[in-house]
Amino acid sequence: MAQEKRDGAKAFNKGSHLFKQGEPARKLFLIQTGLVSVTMTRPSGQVEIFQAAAPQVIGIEALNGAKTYENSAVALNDTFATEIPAETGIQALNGNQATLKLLTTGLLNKHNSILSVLRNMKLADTLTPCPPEAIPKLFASIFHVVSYTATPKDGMLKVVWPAFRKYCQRVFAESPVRLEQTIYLLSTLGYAKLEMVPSDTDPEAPEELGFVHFKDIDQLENFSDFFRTRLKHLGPVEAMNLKDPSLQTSEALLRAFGANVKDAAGLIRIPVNEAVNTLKTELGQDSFEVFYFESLIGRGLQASVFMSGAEKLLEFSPDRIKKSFRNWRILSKITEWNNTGRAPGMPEPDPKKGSQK
Amino acid sequence: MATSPPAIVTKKFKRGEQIFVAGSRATHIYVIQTGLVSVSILKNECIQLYIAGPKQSLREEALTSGPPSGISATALRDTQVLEIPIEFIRTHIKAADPVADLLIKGLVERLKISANELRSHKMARQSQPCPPDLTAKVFGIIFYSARYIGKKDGETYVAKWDVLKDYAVEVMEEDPIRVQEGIHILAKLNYAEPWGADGKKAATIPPVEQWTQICFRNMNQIETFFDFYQNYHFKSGYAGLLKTNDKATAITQALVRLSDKYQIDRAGMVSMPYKATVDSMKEVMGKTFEADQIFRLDQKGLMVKQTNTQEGGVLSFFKPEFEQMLLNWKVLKEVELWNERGYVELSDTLKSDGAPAGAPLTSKDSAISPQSNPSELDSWKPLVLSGGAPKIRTEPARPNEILCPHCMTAVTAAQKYCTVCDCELPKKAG
Repeated sequence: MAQEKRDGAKAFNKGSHLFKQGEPARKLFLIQTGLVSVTMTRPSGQVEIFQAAAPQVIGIEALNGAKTYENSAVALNDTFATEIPAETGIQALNGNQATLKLLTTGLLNKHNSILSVLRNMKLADTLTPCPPEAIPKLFASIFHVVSYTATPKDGMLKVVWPAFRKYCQRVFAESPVRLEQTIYLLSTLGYAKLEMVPSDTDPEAPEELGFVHFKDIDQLENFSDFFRTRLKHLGPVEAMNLKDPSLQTSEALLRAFGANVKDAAGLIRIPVNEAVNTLKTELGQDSFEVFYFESLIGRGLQASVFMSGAEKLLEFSPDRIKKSFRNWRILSKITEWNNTGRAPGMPEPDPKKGSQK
Repeated sequence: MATSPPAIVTKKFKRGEQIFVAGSRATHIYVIQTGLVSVSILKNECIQLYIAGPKQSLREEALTSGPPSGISATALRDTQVLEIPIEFIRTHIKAADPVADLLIKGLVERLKISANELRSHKMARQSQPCPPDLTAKVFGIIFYSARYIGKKDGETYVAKWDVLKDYAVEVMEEDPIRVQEGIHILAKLNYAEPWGADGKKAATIPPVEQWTQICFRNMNQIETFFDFYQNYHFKSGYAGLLKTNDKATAITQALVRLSDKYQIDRAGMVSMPYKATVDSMKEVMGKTFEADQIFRLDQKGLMVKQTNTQEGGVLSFFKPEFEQMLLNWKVLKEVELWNERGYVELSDTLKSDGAPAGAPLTSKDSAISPQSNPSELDSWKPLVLSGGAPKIRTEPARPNEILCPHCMTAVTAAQKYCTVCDCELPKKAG
């Protein structure tokens, strides 16, 4: 917890936060003494991005006009830091001579750029089984390699597992462990059928994965695209949120209006006011408003709002919404995988072989 | 009254020019106005720390005490910067609002620490612009993104540059500069053409800012290269195959060129008389050339077989493999130069041996440089690139000539097995 002030600087006990990720970015902190760890919240926990000491300044996002802090800062030992209100900092820098103003803009931009490189490097080293940033590429890689190299067989696409894994690893720098877990995950959802074969080297050994037969490969592309959009708009933590209002709204829309008459294109149109009133009841949220639909569309709600004459209509395709649930099912399985460390469907490791990496 | 020189000047740098070099005394800070700059450590190879763009500062560490940073900055595109003298900035910082003074110093210190941390990370990981572990990935992702984004027209794919780049970067997690430089290599080798605003091929490769579409002309060669690279890079014991050698390239090219006079059999093997071939090679490569150098190509994965015959012996090799290897080496050479310089030099025109025209020759190279037919060798291209197929011998055997019935290689009457395809030769009747 923060303590008394010394020479205008505020004291922060070891372990107390100077600021937390997601809090309104209203202050900069000029460290006078002590050591501060700047961390980022990940689904798997906190990842340290850098450590800062005197005379460094942290919470710089407040100067860039960010509404909230992108990271958290925690005192690693007893620390004194001068708090500078963001507005004071911005005014002081803006009031500078033109060249100095140019320089500070240059410094801030460079800081953002280097921090972003450092953050990516640190996050790449984290041990989350399937981190959010890796998801679009993981599914896109499987989609591309299957589409390009697989052999059609019985309405499915067949790949030789060892060759497929090796190719994805070498050409797409994909983790073979993550790839294998994903294949088992897909098998639980019916997108992949696994064909086991006897071991080449040990006739006594249990059968191993020999071939994978993929079904509905376009769904993998669809999911990669769906998650990429969420990641871009919502950030890694919120993108993984399974209690997303867009999912709940989609479900409520289907419950309330799914049986309505569809047009030739399979679309259902309802007056927005009617939709809002019904959803207020369905979701138990009196605060549900029209603009909320529009914000949910960016999060993944498969619907659109438009004016038809003087009337504002909500349009959605029940089939598209049902299809979008497949993306949520995949995401929920990935969350399960990240929580347990083992993808759903993945067999328990053979104790004789030692633990799986 | 004498007027003092202007404190701040605008400077322009062409792609590839250095804005400042490692070890030089920092007298100015730079603020990029337009363009893109690679900030790197240039030793034997380039270790790229980060890419700086417009409105970013460079060399601000000069405001703090410390030794020269060992960092160089090279323009990756035509770049314009503001050059501000350090003393000018120091004077203005002293005169500034105390809060601004504290913030600037705090920011500079923060940047210095972050840059140092980044540097140790990158040094530990040997972060070349195109690291070996990611070389197959760069070209693989360009290939797959082009197939996915691009519009197919016959054998070519035309993709919108911004869409292709977004896909490669956002979905496939490829570095945007790596994608850009990879396409520069493909453009230099005529496998791809970046088109400007008019959507047509330009006489020279247009600057990246003007790219609107990329026309991929030779997807097969792009795929063959990254497949070749991934195949050998991730196996132990094959590192030598992925390093170019000007001598080996020159010998291979000369050998392939000489073999054009001889027909190849249905298995793709070409057989050439030993003595005549070595004599011709001496003519092309110079008097210091020794026949042994041909057989040393096996260190590069190219096997030449020598068979003794009454006529003085025969050299035979699988010609398509040699032609393909020459193409692979051209891409490899470009990747090596990219890692050395930190960017792909567009003004180089590739020589026949795969080395850029401006590249200095080593003493070893000069001893074996092609001595004759330079223009012919320069313009030589493997048949496979023009879509041609090797000519297979179909005419009957000449008088007293015995051919292997399987691969049509000339064999002697005493042979039981074909020296090329190893099939059992029919016994003479009677």
